[in-house]
Amino acid sequence: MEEIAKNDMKKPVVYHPRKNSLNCYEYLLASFISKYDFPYQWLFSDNWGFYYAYGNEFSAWMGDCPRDVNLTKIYGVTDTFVPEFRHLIQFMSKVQWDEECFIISADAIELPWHPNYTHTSSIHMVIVDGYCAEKGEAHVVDWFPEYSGWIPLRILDLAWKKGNRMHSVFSKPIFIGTNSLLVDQLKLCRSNMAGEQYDHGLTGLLGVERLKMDIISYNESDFDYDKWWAGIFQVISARDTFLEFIYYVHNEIAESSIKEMYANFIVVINNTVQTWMTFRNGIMRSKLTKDFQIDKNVERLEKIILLEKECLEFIDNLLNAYKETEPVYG
Amino acid sequence: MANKKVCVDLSKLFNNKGVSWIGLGIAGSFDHSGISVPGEILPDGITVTWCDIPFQFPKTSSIENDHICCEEQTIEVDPNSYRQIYVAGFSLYGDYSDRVWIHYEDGSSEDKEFGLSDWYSRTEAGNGLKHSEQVAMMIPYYYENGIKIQAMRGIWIQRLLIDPNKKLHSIRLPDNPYMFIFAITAEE
Repeated sequence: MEEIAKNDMKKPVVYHPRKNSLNCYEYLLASFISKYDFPYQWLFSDNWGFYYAYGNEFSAWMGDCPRDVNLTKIYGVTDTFVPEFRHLIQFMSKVQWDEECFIISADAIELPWHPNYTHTSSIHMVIVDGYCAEKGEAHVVDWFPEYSGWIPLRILDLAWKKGNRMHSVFSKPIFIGTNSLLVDQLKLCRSNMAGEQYDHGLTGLLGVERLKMDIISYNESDFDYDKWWAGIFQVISARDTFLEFIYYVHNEIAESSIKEMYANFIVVINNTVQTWMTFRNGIMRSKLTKDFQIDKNVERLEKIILLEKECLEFIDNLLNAYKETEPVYG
Repeated sequence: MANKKVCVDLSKLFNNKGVSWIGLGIAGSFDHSGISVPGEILPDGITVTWCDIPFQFPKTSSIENDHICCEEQTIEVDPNSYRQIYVAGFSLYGDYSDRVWIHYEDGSSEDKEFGLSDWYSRTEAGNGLKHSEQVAMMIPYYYENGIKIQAMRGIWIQRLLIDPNKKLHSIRLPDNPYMFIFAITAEE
């Protein structure tokens, strides 16, 4: 019986104490890159963003997410074009299991190992890394929650169909590290932090400052809470994954002379993330209480602005420090 | 001999209703998505002992508020010298930490880090308790908009060290509305 399953994805090492700082999809990307012994954290090396298009329109990114750009730019990974297919089985014989990574979306309500199994629909991502035609089973890998094993293809097919039918086939990574990579990425991150003004909106700190000005005139009825939840969630996730990158630099590649600077930077980024969480939770609580506490929310945004400015200063100090030393790229 | 432990009355500061009693038609909600915990498996207006610490658990079988959403409220305590404070609660949508302020009778104060882990932290998909808490109790199911969800959640106990050489006057809670507190006990 032919069972094709490499089953050699690596569990990614996450330095961040909050292991759920990476989402299920990011865990899979990290696993695939780690399989080739490359550090995955460069995916997040400039993953800092805020985009405000006034009113309820804001998110972490105005354009592409840096993580997705870095997948190609730093790891040379491309998403192989795959024509639409109706059933997963039609695709199983086409995947090059040795070198490609096949990631699909699935509704967690159909995945027996997932905490939402049988009761709550949610989009989840898994790697499919093997197929046994005779048994009609697929081999899946999941890290969040952790699971690896064979599952009847009909169950996976159902989960995929209920889970928006998304799929990606990624090519084998190569790590395109250069001596200037760290400095280049920190410069990009600095630019994301500082922000720019566009006709349709503002990015970075400029955007957060404008949001603070606008929020003063908001009424509870102005809020599209679902959009706010999703937008702030993305903003938090961006900073939390960037924090994982800074943990990696601190733990693995920072010169001893600069380690303390990274340690202090970690504290400030963590405080920034926590304050964004407080802001998000305060906004969402007002949905329950119908009392939008303007002063309180402005106060929280002011705290965020101060912390984000502090993060900017840390990047400047690091870039200055690297003018005098030669950075390594890991 | 064990140190004396004093349950702090929080009832005046309760600002949300989180516990549901489906049979009594009482619906609570901790958050914007209608999450609540079942009253029938929690203590109800009694002193409960968790990890050898007595806690005055709120009365939940009424429509009155039954817990604190942390928004920098100040809790005044009977002025006395305490070694530590125990806090029973949990967080939703993250593992949070913020500063609490400890104010003493002599006018001095100090701030300390206070963390509460997400209520699903002790499940397989969870992250483990992130802030060295103890487990008060596990909750085998909860409600989301009245629908029963069979999934393990928990209430944690966090500890704050107090300067025993000073008389404690009050504690200012952190600022994060999705950090929830049911009970606080001070140990002399």
